[in-house]
Amino acid sequence: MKLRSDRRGFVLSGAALLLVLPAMMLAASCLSIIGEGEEATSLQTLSDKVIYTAHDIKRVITYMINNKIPTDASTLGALAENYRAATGLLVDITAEIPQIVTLAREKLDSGEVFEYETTLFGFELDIEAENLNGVIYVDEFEFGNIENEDVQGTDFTLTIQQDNIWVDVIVGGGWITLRYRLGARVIRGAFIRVRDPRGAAQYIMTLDLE
Amino acid sequence: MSFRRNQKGFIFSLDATLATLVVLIVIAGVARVAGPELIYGQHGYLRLERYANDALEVLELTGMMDSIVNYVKHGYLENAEVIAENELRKILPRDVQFRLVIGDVNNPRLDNVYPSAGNDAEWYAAFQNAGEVVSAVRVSTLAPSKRIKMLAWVDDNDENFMALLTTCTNIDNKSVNNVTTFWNEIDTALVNWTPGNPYYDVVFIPDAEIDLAPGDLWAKITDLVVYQKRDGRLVVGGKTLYYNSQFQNADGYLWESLGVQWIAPPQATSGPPLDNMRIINRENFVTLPYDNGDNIEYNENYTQYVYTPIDNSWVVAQWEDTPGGVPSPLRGIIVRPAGYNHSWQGTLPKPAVLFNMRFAQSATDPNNPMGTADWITLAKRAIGYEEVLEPITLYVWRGSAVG
Repeated sequence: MKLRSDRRGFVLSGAALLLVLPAMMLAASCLSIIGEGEEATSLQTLSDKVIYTAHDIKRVITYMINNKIPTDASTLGALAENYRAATGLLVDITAEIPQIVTLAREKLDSGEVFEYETTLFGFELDIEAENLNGVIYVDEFEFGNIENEDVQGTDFTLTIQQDNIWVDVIVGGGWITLRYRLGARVIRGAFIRVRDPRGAAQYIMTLDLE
Repeated sequence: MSFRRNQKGFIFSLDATLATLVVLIVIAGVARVAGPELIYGQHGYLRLERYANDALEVLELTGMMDSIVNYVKHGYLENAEVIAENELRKILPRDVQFRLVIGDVNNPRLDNVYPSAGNDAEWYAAFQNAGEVVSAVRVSTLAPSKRIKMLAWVDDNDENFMALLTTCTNIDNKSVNNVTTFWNEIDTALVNWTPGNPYYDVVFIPDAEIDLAPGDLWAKITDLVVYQKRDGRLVVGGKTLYYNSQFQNADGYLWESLGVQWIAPPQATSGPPLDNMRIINRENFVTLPYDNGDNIEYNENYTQYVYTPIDNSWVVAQWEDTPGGVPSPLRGIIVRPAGYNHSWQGTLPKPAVLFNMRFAQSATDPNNPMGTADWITLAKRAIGYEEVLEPITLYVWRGSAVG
C-alpha cells in the first residue's frame, strides 16, 4: 500500500507518552482494587456477621431464661460487651421487663372485705372484693374510665390497661394482690440491636420469651 | 523477495501499531476483570466467612456444641478437643483449615483444636502465616473459671440430689457422712486457711439428720462459725438445725450465723398447704433468676420448721398459707448477708443460706419429685455457682494440611 501524502497518523511524542504512562498505571491500580473486592461483597460479609451475631444473641438469651440464669440489666450488659469485644460490632441488649409495683397484698379470710382506692398517674383506681365461703368476689374493679365485669373464683387474674399502665388484680391461695406495670405487656423479653460501626448494616429485633 | 509493482498488502504504520497495542491492553484488562482469579478474590473471602459461621451453626444444631461445652465445663478437655476436631473435620472441606478456641483468646478454656491431633506448634504457625483468615464467634455460658471446692454432708436420700448438682456444675465436691470425717475436714479447712483463700469455698449441709456434735464434741459445732469467719460460705437445709439445737452457747452461735433467732427446738410442721413456696425477694444472689411471686413446687409431705429470722428482710422466700397452728408466714429461704457482725466471732465476710425445707428429698422423691429444676438452681446459686459468658471463636483459612 502506498501512503498518500495526505494520510493522517499519530506521532508518539514525549507529551503523549507522559499521558499514556499514568493512564496505564491508573488502569493497573483500578484492576488491583477490583481484585480486593467491591462494596457489594464487603456489605454482604458485614451483613452476614450482623445477622449471625443477632441470631446467636437470641439463642443465648433464650438459653439463659430457660435455664434460670439471671437476665437482669447487668448480665445482659455483660453479654452485649462480650459480643462487642468478639465481633467488633456495636451491640445493645435491653431487658424488656416492665417495672412492677405492688400496691396492696392481703390475705382475705372468709367474710372479709378488701377495698382499695387511689389515683394512679392521673387515673382513678377503685377495687372492692370480698371472700364468701372461700370464693373471692371482685365486685368492683375500675381504672380510669374502664370497668371490669364482676368476677369470682379462687384463682384468677384481672387486668385493665390505661395508656401505658397495666393494673393487675391477682387472686390465689386466699390472697389478693393489686399491682401495676409500666410498659409493654411482655413480661420477659429483650430488645436487641446489632449494627456495624459505620451503620452500613443493622439488625433490630424484640425478643418475646413469654 | 522483490515486490512487483501491483502487489497489494498491508503496511503496519506507526498509528496502526499503536492502535493494536491499545486494543491488546483493553482486551487483556477485560480478560483479567472477568477472570476467575478476580471473582475468587471477591467471593472467596465471603465463602470462607460463611464456612466459618455455618460450621458453628451445624455444631449448634446437631447438639455437638453442647457436648463440647459440657466437657469443657467439667474439665474433660481432651474429650472436648477430640469431638470438636472430628466434627469440624467432617463439616469443612479438605482445603479449609481451622482453629477453634473456647473462652477468652488471652485465657482460653480450650485451645489447640486443629484439623489433626498433634503438631500444635506447626498448626499455630500455619494459622499465623495464613494469607486470609476469617473468624466466626458464638457466645456460650461456661462454668466459673475458678472451680468451687465444696465439702458436703450427705446422709439419707441426699445422694441423688448431690449427683444431680455435681452433674450440672463442675464443683470439686467432697461428700462425707461420718461425723469424725466431717470434723477432720473442717479442721483441715481451718488449719489451711489463708486470708481470702478458704480451703473449702463452701460447706453444704442439705439435710443432716443427726447431731453433728454429739457427746463430748458438743462445742465442735462452733467450728462452723469459725469456718465462716475464715472466708467460708455455709449453706444449710432440712433438719440440720433441728438436730443441732441443744446448747445455746454452741448450737446457738450456728443458728445466729444462719440468720435465725435461738428458739430451740424449732416447731416442726408439714402437710398441706405447704406445696408452693413463693419467692418474695429476688434482690439477692439466690433468687435473682426468679420474679417476685414465682412459686417453687415443694413436696409438702416433708418437714419444715418454724424459724424467726434475725432480720425479716433476709427472708427471700416463704409460705403464706400455713397449716393450722403454724404462724403465717412460714419462712422458706433465709439469706444472711455478707458482713454480718456475729455476736461471738465478729464480722462474717461471706453470706450464709438457710433452706427451711427438705429440698433435696422433694427434688428427688422416687414417687413424686417436685420442683427438681428449681431446687437445683437455688442450691447452685446458694453455694455461689454462677455461670459466666465467654466467646467460642472458630478461625478458618485456606491452605494445605500440616503433618
